[in-house]
Parts: sequence; structure tokens; C-alpha cells
Amino acid sequence: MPQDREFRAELVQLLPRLRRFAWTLAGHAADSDDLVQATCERAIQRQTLWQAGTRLDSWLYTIMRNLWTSELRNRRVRNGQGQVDATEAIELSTPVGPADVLYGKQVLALVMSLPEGYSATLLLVSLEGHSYQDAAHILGVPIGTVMSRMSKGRQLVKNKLQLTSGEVGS
Amino acid sequence: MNDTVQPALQDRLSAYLDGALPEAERAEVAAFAGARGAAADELAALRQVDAAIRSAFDAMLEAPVPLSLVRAIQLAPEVQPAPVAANQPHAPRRIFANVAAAIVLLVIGVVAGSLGTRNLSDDPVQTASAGWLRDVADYHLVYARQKRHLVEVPAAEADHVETWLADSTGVRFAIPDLTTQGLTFQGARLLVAAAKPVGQLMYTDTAGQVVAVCFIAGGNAASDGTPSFARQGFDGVEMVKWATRDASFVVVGPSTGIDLQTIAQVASLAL
Repeated sequence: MPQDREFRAELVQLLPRLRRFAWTLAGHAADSDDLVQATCERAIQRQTLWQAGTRLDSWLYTIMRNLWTSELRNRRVRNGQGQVDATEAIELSTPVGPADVLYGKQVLALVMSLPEGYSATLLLVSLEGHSYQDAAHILGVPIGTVMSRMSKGRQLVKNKLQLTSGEVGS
Repeated sequence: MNDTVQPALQDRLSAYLDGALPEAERAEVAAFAGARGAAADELAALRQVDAAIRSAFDAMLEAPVPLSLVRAIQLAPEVQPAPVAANQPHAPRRIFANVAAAIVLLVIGVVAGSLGTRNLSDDPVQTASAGWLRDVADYHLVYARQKRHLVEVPAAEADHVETWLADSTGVRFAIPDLTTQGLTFQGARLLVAAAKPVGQLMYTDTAGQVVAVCFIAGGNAASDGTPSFARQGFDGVEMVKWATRDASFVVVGPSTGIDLQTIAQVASLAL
């Protein structure tokens, strides 16, 4: 089936970006590839629901976020643990150690250690150029939350970089 | 420092950077951010933060993609019928069409496991190398469309590429000059195919099409030193392969528009 084959080829070509987005959701590599695989399998099963001419990446991101939200919910039930409310959290959720000496890795570690939902929002808006509205749809949050995460996320990274390198915002 | 910039202004400056402010408010923020002062300093700092974040996120795209993900996409169960709202006028016909399509696809799915080897089963000579060629074809599907992250090590570090890949793969080689074939060397990647290290040299033509020259240790012990070239194709990817006594090589590219046979012959002179 040519359409099916083309659709799968598009998925393969999007793999690097899908893995990156999955990483921002899961926070680490261990779960992200499982999340990517689950996303692709679901997308293949439901490809007739994707509207040609619209952004395939946005559609896949939304599927992935839904899957991840379900996974988080299941984990909460299994572990009896709650999640940090990203909209309320103001401090970095994971301390960044002095071992992160390379600047790029340090920034990446900073971004990945932001409160839940922040790194995904920064990726979608700052890097991939999604509007606040698109990002809100993908992430399943109000537009105001996207705006808040963008601002607070930037401030957290800026302040942390000032503390560690003094190169930004000083 | 930007101690005088209040959180409300930080939010507005952040939204300004993202083009998310209404036109009137955008002009207002542009006016006071354009003047010297704390707001201007804050805006500059936020732009630096964005640049740092972009650089960090870009680096993530260079991480090798596991072939297991490519295989999962290729072999995932086929399309299921789309749910159709009961009030849609052509719902019954569409359901029937989708069910029929699903049945056809299910049949295809049953034989999907043979897809990876269907090109090889016709060529028993190549059975031993089937695994690495299939892997190389899958890698090509992933990386041939990466514009900014085509390679791990760029062409500017050609000397390093030669020592790095020779040490990693155990294959001594020189980077082929394929400019006579209209190809420019862009750099290299180190792959893992059939559980062995594979060197991948990436070239592009003027249209941006990607051709890769890949090699792996282990060749044809019976080789008399004269390469014997053979074509092979996987879905959307064409190959021309040959072997020496010590290593196996393959040129990989699009299925149309590029003379891979001649490229392989020219490349073999350097390899």
C-alpha cells in the first residue's frame, strides 16, 4: 500500500526529532525510545486519521504526549507517588552537578532538569517554532501555561547559567 | 544583572520573543526594550538563553538512532479501520472499505517478516552479508534526509575521519574523492550494523541527494583482488556492493537519478 509505505518512511525520517521530544517528556533516554516506538505504532494504526497537509510532527507529538500522560498516570497508581505540579514548581527539579563541564552538555542538563513539561514547551516554541496555541494543543495545557512555562523556563536557565558560568544575562 | 525587571515584564519580554503578543502590545514592548536599560539587558539575556537552548537541543539530533526503532516502524501492524461517526452519510461504505483494506494489509502483515530478506533470498551469495546491508539501508533512510545533522564528524576533519573509522572498524581506507561523479564529501558516521562497527562516508550532489559509502571488516577470502560489483535494492534504497579479502563495501543511494555503479567503481579505487 503506497500510502502506508510513504507514511512509514515519513516516520523513519522524523525519528531523530521524535526521540528528542520523547526525551523532553520522559526526562531521560531510558524510557524515551519505548515512548517513540509506542507512538509510531499507534500512528501507523491510526494513520487514516491524520489529515494530509497538516503538520505530521505536531500530530505525532500529540499522540506521544497522550501516551506519556497515560504512562505517568499508571505509574502514579503503581507507585503511589504524585507528580510535581509543573505550573507551580519554581526550582529546578534536579540539581546540576559540577561534573557537567562542557557548556553544551551543561545547558542540556539544565534544560532536561527543569520541572515537568518545561523542556518540552521550550523545545516546541523556542526551537521548532510552534505557536503558543499549537504547543498548548500538543501538550494538552492552556495557552497561559505555555506562556508561563516559556518565561519561567528561560528565567531558570538564565539564573542557573549565571550561577555556574556567569556568561548569560550578566 | 536584571534585578529591576519584574516578573510581569519578564513574561511580556518572553512572549515578545516568541511573537505571541498582540500587535499593540508588541509595539509597546519593542519601544521600551529597544531603549537602553534593564529591559533591553533582559531581552538580550533571554536571547542568549534561547541560543544556548537551541544549541543544546540541536546536539540531541546527532545521537545515533537505534535500528530497533526503524524496524518497529517497518514491521508494525498495519492500518486499522478509522472510527467513523455514525451520523456521517457514507459511514457504512467507508467502514467496509476500511475493513477490506485492513484485511489486505493483514495479509501483507503476515509476510512482513520476509520483507527484510526478500531481496537477499534471490541471491544466495549475499546471504552472509544480509544483516549488515539491511541495517545500512535502514540507516540511510534515517540519515539521508537530515540536512543539518547529516554527519557526526564533518569533512573538515577528514584526517580524523580516516583514523577514527579505521581504528573503530579495523578497515584501512582513504576517503574516496568522488567530485568527478558530482559528489561532495560531507563527513562521516560510525554505525553499528549486524552487531559490528560500520564506517559510513556521506556525500551529497548538487541537488542535495545523499550517497553513502559504507564498509565493514570481513570480506571474501576467495577474492582475487578484482572487485566484483553487484546491485541490490531495499525499499527506496539502492546499493552496489563489492568485497575485498578483508572488508565488504557498499555504495548506498536513491533508487533513481544517480549512477551508483560508476560511483562504486571509482570509490573502490581508493578503498
